[in-house]
Amino acid sequence: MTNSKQVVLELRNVSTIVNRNTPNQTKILKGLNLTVYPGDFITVIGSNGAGKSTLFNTISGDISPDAGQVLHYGQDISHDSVEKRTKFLSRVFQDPKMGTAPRMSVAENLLLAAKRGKRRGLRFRNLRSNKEHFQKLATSMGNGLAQRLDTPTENLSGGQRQALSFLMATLNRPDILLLDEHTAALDPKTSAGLMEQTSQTVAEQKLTCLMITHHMEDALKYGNRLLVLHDGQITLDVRDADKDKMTIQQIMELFVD
Amino acid sequence: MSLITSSIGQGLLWAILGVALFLTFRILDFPDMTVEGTFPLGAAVTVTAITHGASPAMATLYGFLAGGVGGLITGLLYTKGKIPILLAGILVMTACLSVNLRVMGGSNVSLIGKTTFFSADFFQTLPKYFDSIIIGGITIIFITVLVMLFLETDLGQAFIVTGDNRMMARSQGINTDNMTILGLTISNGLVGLCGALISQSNGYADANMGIGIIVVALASIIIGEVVFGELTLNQRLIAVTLGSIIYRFVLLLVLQLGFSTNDLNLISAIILAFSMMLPNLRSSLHLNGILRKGLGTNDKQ
Repeated sequence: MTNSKQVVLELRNVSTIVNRNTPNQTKILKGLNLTVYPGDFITVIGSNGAGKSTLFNTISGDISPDAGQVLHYGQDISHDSVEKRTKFLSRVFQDPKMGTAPRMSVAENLLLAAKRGKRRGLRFRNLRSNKEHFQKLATSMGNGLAQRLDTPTENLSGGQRQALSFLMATLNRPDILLLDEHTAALDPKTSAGLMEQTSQTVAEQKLTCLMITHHMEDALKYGNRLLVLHDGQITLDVRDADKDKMTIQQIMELFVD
Repeated sequence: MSLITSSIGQGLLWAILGVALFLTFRILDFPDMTVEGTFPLGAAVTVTAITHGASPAMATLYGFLAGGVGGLITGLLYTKGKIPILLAGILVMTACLSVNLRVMGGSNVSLIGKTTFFSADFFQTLPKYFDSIIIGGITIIFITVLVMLFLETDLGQAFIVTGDNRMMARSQGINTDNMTILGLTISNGLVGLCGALISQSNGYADANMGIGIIVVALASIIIGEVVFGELTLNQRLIAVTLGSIIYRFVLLLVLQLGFSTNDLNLISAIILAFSMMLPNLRSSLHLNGILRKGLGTNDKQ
């Protein structure tokens, strides 16, 4: 085993159960083990019901594991709340509506994200002094977001909203970034643009990132590591050269059984 | 003339209730029924404190605190007890009815001959009803400015985003339960304060004085929005006070038409329902131009 200090995130034998104590009781994750190293950009694929979302929810704290442990730099965080984990973790959801506050402006949303996981007291927020910085950040997304800093996010396009969500998730550097099919709700062109932006930002900031995707091409093209989830367990975990050798055909075969 | 000054004074005093409800109804985005209990609670506590020799200032503070406790309980029932917000509010409201009777020792207590904010010698030198204009005006300006400043802080922003997108708020590390409890506590504290001032203005507290007041508060919020349209958050807060005054004028008008004060709750409900339907009616009947003309001339007076 590697020294746990060098492991950003570790899941040890994690099991989750839904509908506990009812006739519909089912196990979703079945003793799953995963070790995430600094700088890993992991693409996660798997059929519906394989446990991809449950895996993310267990990491983010929306679900507490029924057995096993979740460790962050060796520290047990299995039962820490979602709010507590935001100190080191951020997430972009599939639904553009979920990641932004609709009636607040782009700049206001960014300011909220800049203080992710920090104490919020009775100090003035100083929106104005942050505007210039936000302007630069928004310009880097290159989709017109920079011209709409004062627009309520409900008036943005889905692509702009999702780009904003991504910007918000990376603004205050997270130890772990979770991307939950964050381009799935966008049209192909916008989706490809955001995917490129994602890859660039993750590389530039050397982020540790897990990304669920349904696009086999994206799963192979991006990241340094590929996970295939099936029936609550990891059935394939390849990295670097081994990952590069994988073809869509090979992955599809893994899905068939 | 005195009818108009009376309406403005009442509008300013009742605006406190509107601003209080704005925090929950508009910012946290749910209807809080607790106010029908915490309003008479604030009144009962204040009036009882005054009759027991407390100064008006201390008595009013007690009214504010009592209301806050009511809101705190609703908040706990909702967030920790997982009781739906509407029911949590109704539970506390109902409980308050008994508490109020206990506090007052009867169904009403008079303030005749007691010292209140409104009995100060200074006010006796002014024309009638100027007392409520001054007290209401100072209080509502103070509260509105305080709320505006609060909403500009990091904590205030966390409070706003809790009502706007709970899921996103949590993923930014905001404890939305605490924000909800905070909002309900402050809001009902202000409701208790409003009850404290109204009871001193009326010269008595009555166990039934909370009935229908949620409609009064919502009416000032909605009228403000319908009349002034698209506004920033700060402007919307001010619009609540203006809406509250307009609402008093509408009531005045209705009473002049020959309705009795017993009809007030019915009329309030009709005014609120009408105001809430107006945006829809506007677009379907193309009333916009007509209304703007009508309101424009009234505003200039």
